[in-house]
Amino acid sequence: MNLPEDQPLSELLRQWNILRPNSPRLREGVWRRIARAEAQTERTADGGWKAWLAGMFAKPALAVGYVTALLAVGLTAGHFQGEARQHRVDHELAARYVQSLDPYQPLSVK
Amino acid sequence: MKRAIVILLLGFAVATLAYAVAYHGTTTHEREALKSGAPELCWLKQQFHLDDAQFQHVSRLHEGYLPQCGETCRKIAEKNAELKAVFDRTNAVTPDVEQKLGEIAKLRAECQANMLRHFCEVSQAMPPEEGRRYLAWVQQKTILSGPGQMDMGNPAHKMP
Repeated sequence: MNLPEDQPLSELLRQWNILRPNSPRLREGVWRRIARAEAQTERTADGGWKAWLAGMFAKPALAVGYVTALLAVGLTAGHFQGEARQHRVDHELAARYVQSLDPYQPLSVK
Repeated sequence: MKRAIVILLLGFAVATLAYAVAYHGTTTHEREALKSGAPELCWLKQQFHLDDAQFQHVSRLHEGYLPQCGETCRKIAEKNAELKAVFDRTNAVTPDVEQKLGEIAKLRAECQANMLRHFCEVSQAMPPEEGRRYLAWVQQKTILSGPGQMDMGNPAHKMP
């Protein structure tokens, strides 16, 4: 559709400049919005848990925290299980030693 | 999503690895003892902090004591059989039964004396402080653990 040219408006548009410079974090913001949009898409397609998971590990601090927590859990569990076993075996070996020396020792001695 | 799954699995892998490392570390002594031919002596070495020379000495004393102890046990078993035979014939405490009981008591006293002698020798083969600790522990576990003694064979008794 041809409109009659509005001379003052055309002049004004030609003079118009965007004065605000691009924000230095523009790129980061754009990617964050894309990730959020993807997460939103997954949420609607596959249910909430996947989106929750994706959102959870999207933040590096949370991902590092999760791995660190599991590292601590593994170390603690292994240490205590190992100590319990070591203690049990120590007890058995002590009983074996005593039984080997003392014929009057009951076999079930601990 | 793929990144989240990778992190999730990485967490489990790290936990499993950490568990294995910690478990392996805390059970090192036990595995060393169980691999050896005489785990109870290895246990003694670790428990009473013996060096290799002391451990060799204690092992020799242990090996020397066992046949002697076995021989005393054989004699006691023989006397027990004799006692049973005499008692079964009469079903009464005759002078013969009393004599057999006396012989058995004498053998048992001999056995306990040998045992105590062995404990003393072993304790002397250890560093002085460990030797004292060993002697107190082993007495508590053997001659002092019978009925009427202080710990009454209490299984809750712990190493000193």
